[in-house]
Amino acid sequence: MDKLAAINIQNCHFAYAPDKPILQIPSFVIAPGTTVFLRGPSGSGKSTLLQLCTGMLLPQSGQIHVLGESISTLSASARDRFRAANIGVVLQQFNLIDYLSVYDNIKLAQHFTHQDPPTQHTAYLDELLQALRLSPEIQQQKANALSVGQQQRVAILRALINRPKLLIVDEPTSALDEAAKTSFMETLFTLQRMTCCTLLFVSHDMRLTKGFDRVVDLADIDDISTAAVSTADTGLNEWPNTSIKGVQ
Amino acid sequence: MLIKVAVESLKNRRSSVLLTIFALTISISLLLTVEHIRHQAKASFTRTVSGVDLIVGPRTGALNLLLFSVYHKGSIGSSMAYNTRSLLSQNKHVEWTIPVSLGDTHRGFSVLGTTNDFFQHFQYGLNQPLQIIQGRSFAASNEAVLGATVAKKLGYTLLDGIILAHGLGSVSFKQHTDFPLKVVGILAATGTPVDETVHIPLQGLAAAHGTEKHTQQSGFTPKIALTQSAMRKATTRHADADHRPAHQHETPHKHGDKHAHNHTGHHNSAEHRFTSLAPDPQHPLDEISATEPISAIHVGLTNPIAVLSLQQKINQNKDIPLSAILPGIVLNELWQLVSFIEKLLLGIAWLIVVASCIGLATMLLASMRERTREIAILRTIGAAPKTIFLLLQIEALGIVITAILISIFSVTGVLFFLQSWLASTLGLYLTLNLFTLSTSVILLGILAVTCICSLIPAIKGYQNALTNRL
Repeated sequence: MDKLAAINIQNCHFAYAPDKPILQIPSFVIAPGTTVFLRGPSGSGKSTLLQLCTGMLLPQSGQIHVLGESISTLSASARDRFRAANIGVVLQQFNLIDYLSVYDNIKLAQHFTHQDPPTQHTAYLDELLQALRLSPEIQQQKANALSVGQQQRVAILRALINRPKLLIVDEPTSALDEAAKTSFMETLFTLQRMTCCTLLFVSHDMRLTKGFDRVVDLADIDDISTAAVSTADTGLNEWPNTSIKGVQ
Repeated sequence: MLIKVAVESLKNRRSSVLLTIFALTISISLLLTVEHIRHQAKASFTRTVSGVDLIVGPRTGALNLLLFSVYHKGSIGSSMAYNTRSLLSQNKHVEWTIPVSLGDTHRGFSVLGTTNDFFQHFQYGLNQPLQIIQGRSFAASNEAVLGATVAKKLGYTLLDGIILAHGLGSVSFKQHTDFPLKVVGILAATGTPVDETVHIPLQGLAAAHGTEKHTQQSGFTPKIALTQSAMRKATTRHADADHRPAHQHETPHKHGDKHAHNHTGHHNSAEHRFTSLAPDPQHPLDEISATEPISAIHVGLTNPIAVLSLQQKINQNKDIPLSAILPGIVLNELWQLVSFIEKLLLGIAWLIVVASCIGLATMLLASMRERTREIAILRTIGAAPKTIFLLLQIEALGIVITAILISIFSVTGVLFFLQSWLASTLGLYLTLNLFTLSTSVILLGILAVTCICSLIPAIKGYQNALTNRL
């Protein structure tokens, strides 16, 4: 078993309720430094899989190793610290706390690593700003004053600020128009090459697969997903984007 | 960092947060005020008289006698003759006596006719004697010793001449203009009604009333309704008028003329100005007439154990209708009378605080729905569920601490402006310092109540973060 894999999932079973299994993954391994496109229709359990990988959910059985760390056996607080320091996450929408400034959003991500913010971050931050084509002045703006495209780019910046070895991106382009999508994907690959992190990109949009080292269909690794695609129980296992309902 | 997030989060919801702070401020201010006044009132009441074993007055209610003779509030329908004092002094247990006569005012401050025994024996607080910080006690009948507040408020200094007005109340139409009194002493502040009192010799009071009678005889009859105490004075005056030395009727006129030129250009509001602190030989401290009416006598005993039997003796005296009270016991009775209301007020104030805290919890709980997303973001970037819990608690505490600070400032401010009014109208002496042991306990209590109330939204946030059911 390759313990140094970016993600190594073995015999993993997860269900929100005993009679409603969501995931049953015999084996799924992502090599470090690679870019992986994970495809799956909404409701197929791919968001649940991401939450398992980040340690926000725990499997009922099986092992999950992330960057060599057995994330499912860490203590709750160690898991949270591990996530803060090693995994960058960009979601479909609403990645930022909208009443905080861009700068504070970034600072907050650094705060939860429980490390003293190193000074070299300023240089790195400028580098990221430049790569994302964000002006330095944007840092003083409130997150809710930005356009959706700007918010998504700031979200990438925030996800990369702690130099994570794993970057998880979940449907990041669904709120963007076609032109923005293309430029977003280009930027994402540029940054991946710059930081040499492992990229796990999740989407249902097969047009975005270009440039990825590997394209995986969730149905191929998940026993349940294969059988349940047609009868997928939607709504339970979504990422925070479903909270839009709550807002409305 | 977490505090910054909390602050920004509160700023983001400022209208509901401000309303909550407002509600909390009102309730905390109320609680602080009730508690402060409760304590101060008790302290203020009990420190007014000390070392006086008995107060003897004409037959009246115990509470009435205490309020009138110590706090100069209300009135008693009758007076007693000065010779009662010598009768009391004959008792072997009586160490000293202080006669007091009330009923006149000077610009809203009560005038107390007494003897030098007052300065010698009267005590307040924890057996603290009175202290004349400027000048001296009485040496002539046309002299006055002012309480600290009177001197300060009216800007009087030594040698100023003051004129008494008849009856109680700050505005009186009938003034004893013919008998100006010389300020010869000013007392140190005591925080008791003594501060608000003009002390004059009983002989001076008698002289002032004597001249008033004189002016009435010469045709000047003011058309005003006399107060009850004024009527009392007017009726009891007839008997002793004949005893008074003749020259006292004339000399005050001279005095007024002699010092009229000093009147203009003076810095304070005194009507007259005297030139020398030396006792005026024209107004000697004569022996006080046995029939001179007085309001009460403060009695100090050699042996406090004798107090009950002496009280009984006085109360049961068939010859003169007198009442004797133990000031400490009556003070306690008085306090018990108001303590019910005081406890009720405190209870209501606490209920209001709890209600406001529940309001705070409701506000936070209502915001949880829109904050689900925010919690998910925080979790994603590595915040632990307990951090979310802490964040919500910090927000609640931030609101309450702000409300507490505003309350302390506003209550202190209100007290600052009401202090003198409360002292002069209710005889309530409040300090501005809110930080006593009991208010500190109350503030901690409020914080505890807040923590408990905000547990509900905090736990909800924690669960939200833990299950991540978004």
